[in-house]
Amino acid sequence: MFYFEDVVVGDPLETPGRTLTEADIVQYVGLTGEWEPPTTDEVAASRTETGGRVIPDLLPLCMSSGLGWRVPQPPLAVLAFMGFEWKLTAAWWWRSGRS
Amino acid sequence: MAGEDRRYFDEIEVGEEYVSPGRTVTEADIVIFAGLSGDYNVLHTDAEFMKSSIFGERIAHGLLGLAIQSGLLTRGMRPFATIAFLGLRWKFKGPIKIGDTITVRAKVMDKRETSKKDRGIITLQRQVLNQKGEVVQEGETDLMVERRSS
Repeated sequence: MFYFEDVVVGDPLETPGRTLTEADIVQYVGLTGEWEPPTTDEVAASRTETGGRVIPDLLPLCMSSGLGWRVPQPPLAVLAFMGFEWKLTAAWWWRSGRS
Repeated sequence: MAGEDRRYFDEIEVGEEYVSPGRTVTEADIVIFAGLSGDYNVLHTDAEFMKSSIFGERIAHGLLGLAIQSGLLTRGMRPFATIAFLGLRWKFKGPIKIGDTITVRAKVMDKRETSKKDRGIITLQRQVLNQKGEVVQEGETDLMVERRSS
């Protein structure tokens, strides 16, 4: 376990990569109930400037938490997740079917 | 985009409020979210370990609560003509436990015009409440919303 005392401010950590798949999107939409046309309706989404379905806004954030546990150090002794701020900067370009 | 019931920046008023239906968060939701996110922290997956924790049992991932409220609120309001989700500021104030029923309350806090005439930014405050009326999560989301083309 990695405790409070072990954490150094400013130490960079890098996770392994993870390929986002259509299955991730469909499972996420089913779990959350976020059935919005930009993420679920290929016909409607293909007529917009994105050119196809986009990845649900919060899905990469949710995946980042799991990726965070795979950094090359012992797991953090987390008691509770208190809060965060998050910005989306390039959501348009994460189309399904693209790598 | 399809869906002519979408509401544009111009017609959304500061102070508008919305309430979602309730949704009971189940053990299955937590197991699915662990598999989807890859977050298998003991807080969410080890029932025996959690008996001796401050919570006394497994709790839902904070981000599961965030993800569920996002879908839940779409059932309590007409959709905005959203161009992009810009970001959020979020606080986890209490645990969501297996069997808890959550509801989302939201309020339009701010509207800002931008340099581009076809869009504006709306800040929506959201609160996630449990069945006892306790706020378990809250925060603000910033949305870029289309203006009605004239």
